[in-house]
This record gives sequence, C-alpha cells and structure tokens, in this order.
Amino acid sequence: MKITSRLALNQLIRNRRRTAGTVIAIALSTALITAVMCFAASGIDMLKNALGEDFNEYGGVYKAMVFVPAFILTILIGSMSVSVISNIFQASAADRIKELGILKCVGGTSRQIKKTVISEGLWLSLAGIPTGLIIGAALGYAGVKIAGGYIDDIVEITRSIVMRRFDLDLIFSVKIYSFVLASAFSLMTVLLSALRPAKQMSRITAVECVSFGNTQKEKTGKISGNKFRKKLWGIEGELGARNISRNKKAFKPAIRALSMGICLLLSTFGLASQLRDIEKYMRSDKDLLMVDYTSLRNEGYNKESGRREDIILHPIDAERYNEINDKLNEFGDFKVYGIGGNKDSYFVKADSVSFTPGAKDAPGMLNEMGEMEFDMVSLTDELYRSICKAAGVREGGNILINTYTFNENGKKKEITPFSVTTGELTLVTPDGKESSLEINGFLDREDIDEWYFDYLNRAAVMVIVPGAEARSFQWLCEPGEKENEFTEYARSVMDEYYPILSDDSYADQGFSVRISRENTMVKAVNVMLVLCEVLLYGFVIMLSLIGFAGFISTITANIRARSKEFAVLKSVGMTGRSLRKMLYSESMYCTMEAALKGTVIGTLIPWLINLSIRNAFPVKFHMPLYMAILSIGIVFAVVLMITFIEVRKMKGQSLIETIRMDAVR
Amino acid sequence: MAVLEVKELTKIYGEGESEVVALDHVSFSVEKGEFVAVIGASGSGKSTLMNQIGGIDHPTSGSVRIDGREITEMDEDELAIFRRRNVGMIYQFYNLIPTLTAEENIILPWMLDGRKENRKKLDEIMKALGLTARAGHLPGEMSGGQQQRVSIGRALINAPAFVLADEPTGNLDSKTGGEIMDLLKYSNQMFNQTILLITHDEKIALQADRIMTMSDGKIISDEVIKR
Repeated sequence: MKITSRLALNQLIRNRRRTAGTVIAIALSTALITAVMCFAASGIDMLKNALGEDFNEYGGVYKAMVFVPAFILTILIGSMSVSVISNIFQASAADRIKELGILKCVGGTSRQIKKTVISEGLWLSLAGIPTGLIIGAALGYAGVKIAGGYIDDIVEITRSIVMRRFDLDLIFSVKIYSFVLASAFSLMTVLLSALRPAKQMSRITAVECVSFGNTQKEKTGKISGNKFRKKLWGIEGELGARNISRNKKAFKPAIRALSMGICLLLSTFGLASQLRDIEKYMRSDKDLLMVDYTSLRNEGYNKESGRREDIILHPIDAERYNEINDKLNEFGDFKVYGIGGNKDSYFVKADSVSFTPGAKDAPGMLNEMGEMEFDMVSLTDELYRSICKAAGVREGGNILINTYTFNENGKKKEITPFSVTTGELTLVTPDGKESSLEINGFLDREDIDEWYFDYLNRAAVMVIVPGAEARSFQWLCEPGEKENEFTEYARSVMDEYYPILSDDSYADQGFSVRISRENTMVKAVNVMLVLCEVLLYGFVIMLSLIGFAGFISTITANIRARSKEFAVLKSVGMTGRSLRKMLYSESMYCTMEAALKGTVIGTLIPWLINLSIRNAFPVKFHMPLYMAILSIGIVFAVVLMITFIEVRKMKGQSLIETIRMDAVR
Repeated sequence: MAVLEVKELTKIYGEGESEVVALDHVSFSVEKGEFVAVIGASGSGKSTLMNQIGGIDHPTSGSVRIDGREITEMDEDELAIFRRRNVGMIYQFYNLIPTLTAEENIILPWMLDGRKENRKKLDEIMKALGLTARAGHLPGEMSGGQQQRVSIGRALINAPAFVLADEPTGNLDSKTGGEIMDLLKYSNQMFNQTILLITHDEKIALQADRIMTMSDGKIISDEVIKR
C-alpha cells in the first residue's frame, strides 16, 4: 500500500468517532441519492406501464415531471453533502497539519500531501458508499411502498371522477444504473469535498509546517468583553464567546451545518403550511354529490376581432337539464337541483355598465380587449324560482350577481362591482356581434345561502338567465346513506341522454359525465399534498441528519484540536466544571448564531415561494412560529446531547498525558 | 570538498517598522564529515538558519549550495524531493508520524520516494540505534529518548549530504541527551556523516569539532575545537 493511502487509513482508524461520523454522512448522502434514483426509476416504469413505451404525445412533459424534481433533489443533496463532508475533511486536515508538516519536512511533495487527504476520502467512500446504496435501496423501497399506497388512493378517486378505466401502479423498481449513478454521484461528492482541504494543505509551505502553525489565521484585533454575557454565563461564557470570535473558521462548519438543518426544517414547515392553506381554500364546506355534464369545446381565437372564440360542441339546453333534474328527483327522499354555466359565448362591453368606484381597476376585471368575462348562469326551474323570490325579482327576469371576488396579493377580496342603476348589459360575441341583456334584479350575498352564492360566483360578470343554454351543468344533492344507490340510479338516467361509449368520451364523443362528491377532486389533491409532505419531511429529516453528522465531526475535531488548550486552562486552575461550562456555552453560542441565520433563511425561502403562490391562490404567508420554536428546540437538544457526550469523554483525561500526547502527535 | 556552502544568506521578516533581519549576510561552508555546532541565544537566528539550509524556507537573498546544487532556486516540490534524498532532519520534539511504527517512521523517506525497502541497511541502522526490539512500536509507546533515536534513524536512512539537528537533546533528560549525542558522534565517526547541530547549550556544542556562534542574525565567531 502506498504511504499516502496508508497514512490516510491510519488517520481514519485513529479518529474512529470522526470516521464514523463521516461514513454516516457519506452513507446518508448516498442513501438519499439512491432513494431518489429508485423513485425516479419506479416513476418512469409506472408511466411506461400506464402510457406505453413512448409515453404517448406528452412524453416530454411526463419525463420532466419525474426528472425535474429528481434533479432538484439531487442538487439539494449534493450541496448539503459537499458542505458537510467538506467541513469534516477540513477539520480532519487541520487535525493532521502536524503530520502533514512532518511529511513535508522529510520530503513529501505537495502532490503527496494532496493525495493523502484525497485517499482519506476514497477510504471513507469504500465504507460509506456501499452502506449508503443498501440503505438507499431500503429507503427507496419503503418510500415507493408508502407513495404507492397514496397513488392507489389517487387512482381510486380519479377513476370515480373520470368514470373510466385508469391504471397507475407505482411498483418498486431497482435498476443497475440507479446504483451506478448514485455511486458515481457520491464518489464525486466526496472527492469534491476532499479537494478543497487537500489543495489548502498542499499549498502550505514547509516552513509553516515546521512551525505547525494553524492554517486558520486567528483574529488579531481587539475582542471586547461583554458585561451582560459575563453576568449571564460567568467568565466561562465570556471565554467561550471569545473562543468563537477568535476561531471563527473552526466553528463556521458547525454553525453552517446547524443553520442548514434549521433552514430546511423551517422551509418545509412553511411550505407545508401553505399547501394546507391551498387545500383548505379549494375544499367546499358542503361537499354535495354532483352529477356533472360537460361539453367539449373547440378552443381558438377569432382572427378578425382577436377575441377568444371557444365553440361548445354539445351545449345542454334548458328543456334537457330540467328533464334530467325531474328524473333525478324521481329517486325521492331528497331534493336535486341544478346549476350550469356558459363562459364561452359572450363578453360584456365595459362601457355598457356603471362601475362602483375602483371596481373597474380590480385585478382581472377587464380582459386585454377592455371587455369583461361573462358567465351566463343557468338554473333548474325550481331553484331559479327560489332565487327570484330571495332576490325580489319577478320570474322570467335576468338576475345580476353583483359581486366580484378576486385574489389581491394572497388575500381573498370581494367587491360590489356595479351600481344598482345598471339596467342593461351590452354583450358581444367573439365575432363582434352586439346584443343587449336586460337586468331585472340583483343577487347579493345576504339574499341566499353563502354556499350557493360562492358556487355561483365565478366570473367578472355573472347573470342568471332563465332558460339559458349551458356548456357544463351540475345536478347537486345530498343523498346521505343512499349515495351508492343514487349514484347507480343517476348513472342510468345519464346513460339515457348521454351514453358513454368509449374510454375517453370527452375526446371521442364530445362530452363527459361524472358522478362524484364535490370535494373528490380536492381529496385527490389532498392525497397528493400529504404524499408530498411525507416525502418532503422524510427527505429533510435525512438531510438534517447529514447536517448533524457534520456537526458531530466538527465539534469532535474542534475539542480534540484544543485538548492542549484545555490542559493549559486546567493547569492554571480552571476546574472541570468551569471547562464544561465553557464548552456548553460555546455550543450554545454556535446554536444561537445558527438559529438566527437558519430562521432568517428558512423564513425567507417559503416567503419568496409564497410570492408566486399568492398570484394564483388567496394564500398568505404565515410565520411558522411554533414550528420555528420546535425546529430550534430540536437542534438545541441535539447540540446539547452531542456536547454532553464529548465533554464526558474529556472527564477521564489527565492533564500531563494530554500535554505529552500533544507533543507526540 | 564542501558539502554545504552558504553565501551572503539574508532573511528578512516583515516590512517597514516591523522589519526583522533574522539572518544578516551569513556566509560559511561545511566540509564532508565535519561535526559543526551552531550556538546562540534565543532569537539569534539559529532556527532561521536551519530552515534556510534545510530547504524549508526561502531566503530573502543569498545562496545555499548542498553537494554543489543551488537550493534557493528550487520550487517547493523540487525542494521536498531534494530534502528527502539529501538532507536528514532531527527536531527537538522528534516529529514522528504517530500512526507509523518505529521502523516505518525510519523508512518514511523511502516510502515517499516509492523505493524498495533495503532490509539489510534498515537492520543495520536499527541495530546501531538500539531499536531492534522496538521496531513494531508506535511513537506513543516509546520513551522520549527512543523516539529521538527513531528520528535520528529517519535522518540517516538515506545517507544524506548532511544531518541538521535542531536542539535534539532539548526535550530529554541529561542522561538520555548524552546517549543521543553519542549516537550523533558515532554516526559522524563511523559513517563520516556530516552533522550540523543547533543548540543553545554550550556543553553540548563542545562535543562538536567546530562551533559557530550566532548573534543578531550574524555569525560572530567560528572556531575549530582542538582535542
């Protein structure tokens, strides 16, 4: 064995604890990347089974859905691993400076010095990477199993929505290339981590080695005392603070590892809370059973006018939706009523209405043509009559829903857009033909049940027009215990009018019929969110463990490197208790600094993500205060535990022996 | 023939007001087989001189020729290779690799050179140093005197142009120190090994053939001891 490899191996054997920490960090990093690779391979197989070898026409999109998250996770794992493992190598190299100095003095070249540091990485990889591959495969298996369960739920829900055969099976798939790629990635991570300290060490001149000077230049400026700190922690705390101030570089890796841990935990909590809010926003309070008919539309633009022009292929007319409603009501026991809409045939001229102050400038009120999106709302007869009564409008009249809801910077805002003097709207078709629509009354929030109102409230201008045609229509009811029976019955009713003859009736027949709970889609989204959360938490916990492994290594190295300093302190009369207090205070200062940095960045990341989320959903960013306290608490507890273990090890050390061993080392 | 020739060697640390002239135009030469002691008070420039002639540090100006080769013009790696083949170093604190055995520490320059082990030569040195029984021991398992012997073995293994010993007895009791000095004298007499000993102890220096005294970075006296 070459002397460089031999020395590296000896160093690893000598520092078993740090070696174990580094092997754990490498193994965790490899495990994470292997798990991600297994996930990606299983995901690709799932899509191949569902869509065919070539993933059909949207192959690129599906591949991106698998590879983009895999790539982002790889970058995250890589950067965390390089940061942590590099810190460990840095500490190890600093610890070996005397040995490397001796090597230089007896004729070791820079290349040999570099090689010995890199050899350390290779030895560690030899133990860490295979262990990581095994753990990673197990993690991948467990993860795919868990995710598979959730995907089964999503498939079940989706089947009930699309009402046709839909298969998606996430089965654990392990590929040789996953292991090869994961090994190559981890080896690269380790070599990259070792390279910097290796270069630094090889650049140290022989004369620096002879004096065994620390490569970390100590702060030479004046360090002022802090009376408050002294009162709080005593002289030991003051000494601890000064040590950190003087040896910033030595403590930096530990602080960085901890802040990354806190930052990751906080970011995850922050993101998860926003996802929950989105789900809450999407969820309906009533969750009625819904029989839905939707016609296919051909989307396009009118070449002459430039307006959007969607052609509804199979609109449903009033006679039919009322007839279906009557038939559904024949089931008995509960009421069925229907609401439909058509947002594709008309726009409203802005100059035909009088706006309330500021309403015209509300976000999304006017489109790029300076006109307003129009939803012609259709209702089954009985519901229409009850709404007329509630709004105080004569039967046969058109009712304007005089509310506009929009998302203002993450906050849901509702305004009354039009003045009550509005008696007529000018409608315009995509090809520019104008017609007028008389307004006979207004519907306000207080007129009807909140839920109805929110259900109807979905465009800039909404007018309930009796007998209007609709693109989509929903018959709603609450069948209670008779849900399954009613679902069967409703399907038979719909089959009379709209029989489903193909697997994809929407594309093949021009319409779709679904029978599902109103919240079914939200449930599917919820399952996906829970799945994302489970995977995200698992991932972040693993990444934090890498961070902790890094912290253990750097703290161990730090305490070891300072054993002579401690012996000297003891020799001048510092008691063991005071020494321990000093070390605990150092750990506390490190954690406090890490908590500050981690909290700032960990809060900033979800806040920045919220900036784009709030454009789509009225979801505001909340400071995850409890979670911040929890994350910091966890980190403090782990740090105290690690320091306790290290301090306990020091208890048995003899003063003279420490000084003697330092001379031998 | 001069094994070591030092001409106008100057080393200045710092600049301006904080400038320190550690070596001030030092010139001397050492012949093959000479045992030279360099003495001087703390801060006189002894260690700086050792670092320059051992090729560990670069001088500000001047020249150092070892076996006819100018070392001040060599780069770090050239110097490292030159050092392991041509200069033996002995330090006050032994500076052994703690994870290598006594035998491995001695042959470290060979290992760095990727050279095959010359068992016969190694056994000869181990025997001469009285380390045969300790061959497989780690530095931590040996006394200070034994560690210093290993350090001497490492310095001698390549039969260097000269051995530089920096306070080799400074960390030892007088009895063990005496034994180490005996070993150095033995290698000087038996193998005609050139030795440059740096010490602040005049008694130790008196065991050399020639004593150079340094003060304020200059050689203030250079005398041959007549026995």
